This record gives sequence, structure tokens and C-alpha cells, in this order.
Amino acid sequence: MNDLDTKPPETVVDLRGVTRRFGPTTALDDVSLSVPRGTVFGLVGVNGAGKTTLIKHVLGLLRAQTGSVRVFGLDPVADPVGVLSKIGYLSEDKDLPDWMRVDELLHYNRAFYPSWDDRYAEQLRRTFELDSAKQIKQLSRGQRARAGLLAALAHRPEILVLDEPSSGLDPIVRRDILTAIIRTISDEGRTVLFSSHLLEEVERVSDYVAMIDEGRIVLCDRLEQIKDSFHCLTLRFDAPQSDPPTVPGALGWKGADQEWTAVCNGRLEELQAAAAEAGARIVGQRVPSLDEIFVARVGRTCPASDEE
Amino acid sequence: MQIHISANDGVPIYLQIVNQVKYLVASGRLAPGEELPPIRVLAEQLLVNPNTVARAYRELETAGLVTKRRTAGTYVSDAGSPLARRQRVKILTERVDALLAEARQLDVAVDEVVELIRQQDEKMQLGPKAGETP
Amino acid sequence: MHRPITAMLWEVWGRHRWVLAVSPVYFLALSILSHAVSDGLIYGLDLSVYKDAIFFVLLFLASPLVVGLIPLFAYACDADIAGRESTFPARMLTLPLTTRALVGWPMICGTVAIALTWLAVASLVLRPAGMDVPLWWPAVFSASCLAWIQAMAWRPFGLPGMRILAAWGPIGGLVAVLGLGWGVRLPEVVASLLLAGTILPAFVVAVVGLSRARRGDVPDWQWLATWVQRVAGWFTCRGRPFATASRAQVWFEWRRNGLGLSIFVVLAILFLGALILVNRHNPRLPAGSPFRSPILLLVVPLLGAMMAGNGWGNCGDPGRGLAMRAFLATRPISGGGLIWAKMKAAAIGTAVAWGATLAAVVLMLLLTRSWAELAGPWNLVTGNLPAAQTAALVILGVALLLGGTWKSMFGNLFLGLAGRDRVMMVAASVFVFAMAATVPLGYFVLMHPQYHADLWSALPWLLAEVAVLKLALAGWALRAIRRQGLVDGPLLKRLLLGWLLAAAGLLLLLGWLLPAEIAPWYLLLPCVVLALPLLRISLAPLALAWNRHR
Repeated sequence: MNDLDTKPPETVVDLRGVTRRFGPTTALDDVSLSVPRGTVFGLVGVNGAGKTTLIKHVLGLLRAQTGSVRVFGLDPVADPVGVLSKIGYLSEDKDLPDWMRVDELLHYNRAFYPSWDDRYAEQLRRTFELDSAKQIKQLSRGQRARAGLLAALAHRPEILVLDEPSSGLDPIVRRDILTAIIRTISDEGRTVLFSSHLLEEVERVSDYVAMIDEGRIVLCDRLEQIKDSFHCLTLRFDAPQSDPPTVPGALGWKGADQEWTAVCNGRLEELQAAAAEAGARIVGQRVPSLDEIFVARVGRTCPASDEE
Repeated sequence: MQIHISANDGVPIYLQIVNQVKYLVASGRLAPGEELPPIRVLAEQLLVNPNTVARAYRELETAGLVTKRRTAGTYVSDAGSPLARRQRVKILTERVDALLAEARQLDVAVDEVVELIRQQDEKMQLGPKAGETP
Repeated sequence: MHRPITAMLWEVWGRHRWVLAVSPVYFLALSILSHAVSDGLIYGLDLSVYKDAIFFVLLFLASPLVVGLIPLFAYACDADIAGRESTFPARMLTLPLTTRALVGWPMICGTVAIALTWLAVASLVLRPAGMDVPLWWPAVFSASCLAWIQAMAWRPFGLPGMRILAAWGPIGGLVAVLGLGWGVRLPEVVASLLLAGTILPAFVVAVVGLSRARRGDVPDWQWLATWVQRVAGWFTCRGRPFATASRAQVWFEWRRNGLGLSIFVVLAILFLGALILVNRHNPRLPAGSPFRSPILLLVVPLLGAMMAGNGWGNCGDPGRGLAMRAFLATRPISGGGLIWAKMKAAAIGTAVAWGATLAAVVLMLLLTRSWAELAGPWNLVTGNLPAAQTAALVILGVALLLGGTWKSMFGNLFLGLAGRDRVMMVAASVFVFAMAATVPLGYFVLMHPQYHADLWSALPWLLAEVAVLKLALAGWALRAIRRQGLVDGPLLKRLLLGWLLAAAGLLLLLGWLLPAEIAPWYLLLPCVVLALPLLRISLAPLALAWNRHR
């Protein structure tokens, strides 16, 4: 398997200082990102955070207003052919031409990619159970996603770019997409960049995770590092507290009276010391899921309810 | 090899794999000398990143539970090795810790807990003989 | 908002705010213009002589106000009118209103609005210009047109495109009623009442159609289409892979736009052919009228090219605007390659259109046995020319026809490729105002023969200036293309060389064929430069890059 510690990581996608404004709204604010070769890079964020804008910059569909975008060392705007021939792209929108049949779609795409593998395409088509003679507009939404995935995978791209691939799809199609991601990464040197707000899937398959909120990258690290640096702590006070405790690194307290729980960022020893300083015992400590980290880091803090 | 991964409760996935393999070995469902699935196959079966499976296998190898034979795959180590037995005892130790913590919470003394264990063990041995439905 | 009618009107206003805000201003401007012209206030000239021309210009400029209300009230602005489904917004079908109310309110508002608009335009824009325009029957006619278009638009159909064919039925019927009334000289009141009477059947048809849409009962006759496709599939070489990406893209462009063009050509040939056959037995047309000669069919490819011209440039999703669809933008093909593929597909379209037209012309000539009629025009053109020059003239004529058709198909590529609605709107407005400006100018020139000599001597200078401007702008565009690397260097050089050769060849040929008094070289040179497409093609890659990389 790819042992990332022995080879110097080569960067496939490199964004530096990219800012993008659409009129008054800032979609991306000084974003810098590097996707190393041979990894699965997950981009998470709420709807409208800037994930699709970022991916469009990688594909050359948007020009960087400031900063630079390099994919395989090339500028996707200046050299669209060189960059796009190495990318397999699946978008969430209904993007495939409605009037094309499935076999025509494959026939058409084959001419553009020198690395197209006919047998692999046919094998995928049979696995996905796509009828060659059916038009794209006659396919269900899940089948359409499979057709797009087939067109993106058949030429064994060096980087697979997926923009919210699972949104609105049934679990079986989602399994197909995850399997495709894993099979791509299993091949030496191929990379996957995908954006999603289904954090369970991101946690399963990503090597690196970047969290983007309102156009800014708030977190970008290896998944294991992220899981190591966040802790879900439950503190118990001797006396009931009316306000949430102050512990540096805590992201939003939930609870009431004597027991308070929060996802905290930092080293465990420092947090334990801080908790002791605040006068509480740590009665529960576990690793939070990526979903909980995301909600704590990016979500709005709700005021504690006083129903209890 | 039946392993179930849940990405919801926060436990790192490689740790879930390690724990479940440990349990399978300890309970005898993975026999010594049996081959574990290749990393790629297990990754596709569980729908997780192959790097995660690789890390789990590395951890199991460090713990002595499996041995990696070059180009021939990963195999479960012999049961007779003291490391395997140490693993089994370690699993039980964790269960005992949990039991003791709960007993303390419920305000039940350690002696009562030990007595309870002995009673339940007797029942388990007598139960099928006496014709009771377990 | 307590009543459905207020809610619906508010929604119409909300969706088309910009257009509805500008329209009264536009109407006021036209009204002022019309009054100014009638009072002779423009440059103190007495323009009453050009009443006819001014009237037509004002009618042309004011017609969008009336005609534009039709797609507005038929909910056809955002919807796919060629699709199978009703254009009525699906979310409104779940409102707690009866189908009669859902149909009735927009129909009442629409018919009243369009009738009032016509009355306003007729009385405040057209009548002050001096023409005694009828008030009532055009108002009722447009109202019943709107009602029937609403009925056709809101009914689901079995095949894509069927709606457009079906809509000609009622419209044709209304026009027939008008024609009949005119022929029989019905008084205006009776004609208006007759037309108004057609609104009630339109309402009934619309209610029936919309209730089908509400039930989700969209008829599916696509099995016919799949049968046709399967037959067509036997003739396409789907087994062989495309040799290059360019060929694959040409196939894509042809499938997207070429079929529409072919269908238009076939239908136009059938329609004109029928017209010609009918006119041959029409005693009222003079014998030499072009409307009874098969030569009329030659206009079909040119018409087709003009109508299809903007379609080739459209890279967007049908029904989702002009922005380049991500599927096309992420294919690894360069901008130049995409444009070249479109031009090749347009060339195929030209060949198909001309092939079909020539076959139809020959067929018609055989059917009507009117070869002899062609002798007159032929002698007029070729006259006493020696054989070599006749042959050259024929070849030139054929080349100009084919080239001209091809050029008009890809001429406006750069507008569609720009991918912005505003560009299209600006272009359309420029076109409208240019047409509106040339008509009075042309009239003026025609009416004043004393200026003809001066204009004729000034013409070469004018043409030369425009040609120089075109070359300068094209040079700027080509430099920008080189700088951005949109088309690679050697290909660009070869294309420029080809253009120069074509220009030189055309210049020599025309100089040889045409007598020197009519066409001296200093008149021919700018004409050739202006005729051969350069500027608009050079702008195309820039427009495409502007669209693809936003």
C-alpha cells in the first residue's frame, strides 16, 4: 500500500491564496490547499461554504481572481486539455446530455481520453447494470449518477474529482461511489478529491480532510491527526453551574447544572489541567466522530435550554 | 471474516478493526494460521480507506496477533504464543474494569460482585443440566 | 394578499421585474418619438412624406411590447416550449384552486393586458404618426392568439416538438378567420366579435389540457421515436470508434443542433413546394413572378442558416440558459478545437440543406415541366460571355451560395459562445435599432436621386474605412488569441494563410469577371475583405474562453 512516509509527497492540486468574489459575496477567502498524490482528500462544509467554487477552480471553470491554481503543475485555465485529460469529474448536477444514450456517452468520451480502457468500461457498465440503449433522460437519478461515474472512471484518471457525489442518492448508489473511490486509491499513484457533507462517508475513506466555512479553510490536516487532537469531554462539577465553564479549546458546551459536555480541541493533558483548574472532574472522555467535530467547529452555538 | 465498522460513534476505524480482529482471534472464530483478507479486499468489503486497513494490520502485527509474510499475505499467529493469551486476558481485563466502574456507580461492594460472578457461573453450569431454558 | 389574482399578478411582476419596469419607459420614448415625427420636429424637416416608412419602423419597434406579453402570460419564458410537459409551473398546480381558476385568472389578465397594450400602442404611438390604424380587431386578435397559445402551452404533448407543430393549427385558424373576413369585407365589429368568440373554446381547451397536466397525465409517444432511432441506428457506424476528439465533437454538435436544422429545411421545402404548386394555377399572379417558380426554393437554405445561426453557438444546457454546461467545459478539448468542430458541423448542415434543396428544385422542375422558364434569367446573367467566363461565373455563384450559407451559420457563433444573456440582449437590441435606422435612411436615399452620384463616389472610401476597421479589430483579436494560447501558433498561421489565399483568389476572379467600370479594384478590395469572415471568427475563441473560464 502507499506508504506516505517513505516517498516525498508530490502535490497533485495546489491552490495558493485563491480569493473569489461573486459581486458582494466572498465565496473563497485566501484559500490555500495542497492535495498530495495517492491520497483521498475530503472537503467538507455546509451548503454554500465554497466547496463547489473550489472544485470549479481546480477544473478551470472559474478563473482565480487572486492567487494561483496548479493541477499537475499546470494552470487549468491556460492549458485546459493537459489538465482535463487527467481528471475524471462527477458533478452533482444533472449535467450529462439528456438526449445521449449510454453507449453513445461512452463512445463519445472514448475519443477524448487516450487512456480509455474499453474492457474496463464494459465491466463497469455491467456492474452498474446500465442498459446501453437507454437515453440518459430515461434513467433514474441513481442510474444517472452511475452513468456519470462510469464516464469518469473508464479512462482511469490520475485524479478523480467528485463534487458532492452522494447528495440525494440511495444507499446502493452511494456504496458504488465509495467503492469507486476506494478502487481508485488502491491503484498506485491515483488521487481522489471529493466534497461532501455526509461526514460519515468522509470519515470512512479520507486520508486528509479540509473543513471550509464561509470561504475560509478552518481545518486542513490528516484525518488521524484531527481525530487525535479533538476530544469529547464530560466535566462534572461539585456545585451546579449556571453558566457554561470556560476551558480554552472547548467548542460549545452542552449540558446543565453539574454536568457539561463539549468537543475540545487541544492536547489531552492540557485539557485535563484546564478542567482541573476550572474545578471539575473529567468523568467521560472519548474520541468524537468527524460529524461531531464538524458541528462543533462550524455550527452555530445554541443557547442551553432551561426546560430541564 | 465478519467485521462491522461504524463511523458514527467516533472510535477511529483502524481501532475498531483491531479490536474486532482481537475479539475474533480470542473467541476462536479466527483460527491460528488462518489468512486475513488482503488489505485491498477488506477495504472494499468495509468501504474504508485501504490506508486505514493497513494501519490496523500494522498495529495487529506490532501486538503480535498476526504475522505478515512477505508477498504471501497476513496470517494469524499461533494460539500457543504467550502474546495471544496476553491479548485474551487484556480483553477480559477491560470488561472487568467496566464492570467494576458500574458497580461503584451503583454502590455495590466488590465482595458482592465477586459473589455474584460465582453464583452466575454455577447457574450457567447447572442450568442446561436442570433442563431450564437458559 | 387575499385573492388569487393579486398573488398571480404579484408573481408575474416579481419574475419579470426588470422588463416590466423598462417597458413603460420604452413606451413613453416611442410615444414621444411618434409625436415628434408627426409635428415635424426632427431637424425641422418635413417628414410627412415618409409616413409609410416611419409607420413601419414604429410598428416594428412597438411590436415587442405587445408580442412580449405572450410568453409572459403563457409562462413560457423559463420553460421548455418544445418539451412534452406543460409549461405551467408545477408548484402552482398544487395550489388550492380549481383548474378553471388556475386557467382563468392568467387568461383573463393576459387577454385584457394584451388588448389594452395594443390600444395604448395604437392610439399613442401609431396614430399620432399619422396612420389611421384600426383599434379593435388587432386588440381582439392578439387577445385570442394569446388565449390559444396559453391553451397549447399548458397542454402536455406526446412527443417533443409536437407542441410547436400543434400551435400552428389554432393560429392558422385565427389568421384564416381574419383573411376570410377581409376577403368578404366584414365590418370591423363583426370580425372582432368573431375573434372574441374564439376565446371561450380556448379556455375550454386550456382547462382540459391543464387538468391533464395536473393529473400528471403526460402522454408518452416516445416509443415512436425510439423505433425511428433504432432504424437510424442501423445506418450510423456506432461500432467504429471516433478517430479523433474533433470527430467526436462534430458528432456531438450535429446531434445537438443539426437535427433541428434538417427538420426545418424539410418542412420549409414542403411548405414552399406546396405554395409554388398552388400558385402555378393562380391566375392573379403574373407569369414571371418568383412565387410560382421552383427557384423560390433556393431561399430555404439561407433562411435555415439565419434561423439556425444562433443555435450553433449555444453551449449551454437546453432550458438552463447560455452558460457553458460543465460537461462540455470539462472535456479535454481546446477552445479552438470546439469552435472548429462547430464550424465543421455547420458545413455538414450547409451540405445537407443545399443537397435537399437542389434535389427538391430538380424534382419540382420535372414535375412542373418548367425548364423553359429558367432560360430567361439565365441569358440575362450570362448573356454574351465566353464559355470560360460563364463557367467561372457559375462556379463563383455556387461557391458564394454555399459559402454564404456556411458563413451565416457560424457568423454569430461568438454571440452564443459568450454565454451571457446580456450579450444576446444587447446584440438583439443593436440589430433591432440598426434595422430601424436603415429603413428610413434607405427610403431617404431612394427618394432623393440628386444625392446618388455623391454617395456613389463616397462609397469606396466608406467601404475602405470599414474594411480597415475590421482588419484592425481582427488583428487585435488575433493577438489576444495568441497571447492566451487559445489556438496554437502553426494552426493560426495556416488559417490566416488560407484566408489570404481565398481573398486573393476571389479578388482576381471578380476582377476578371466583372467589367472594370462597375467594379474597379479599389471597390472590389474592401468588398472582398468585408465579405470574407474574419473578425467574428476571431472573436469566437475569445468569447468561448470568457464563457468557459469565468
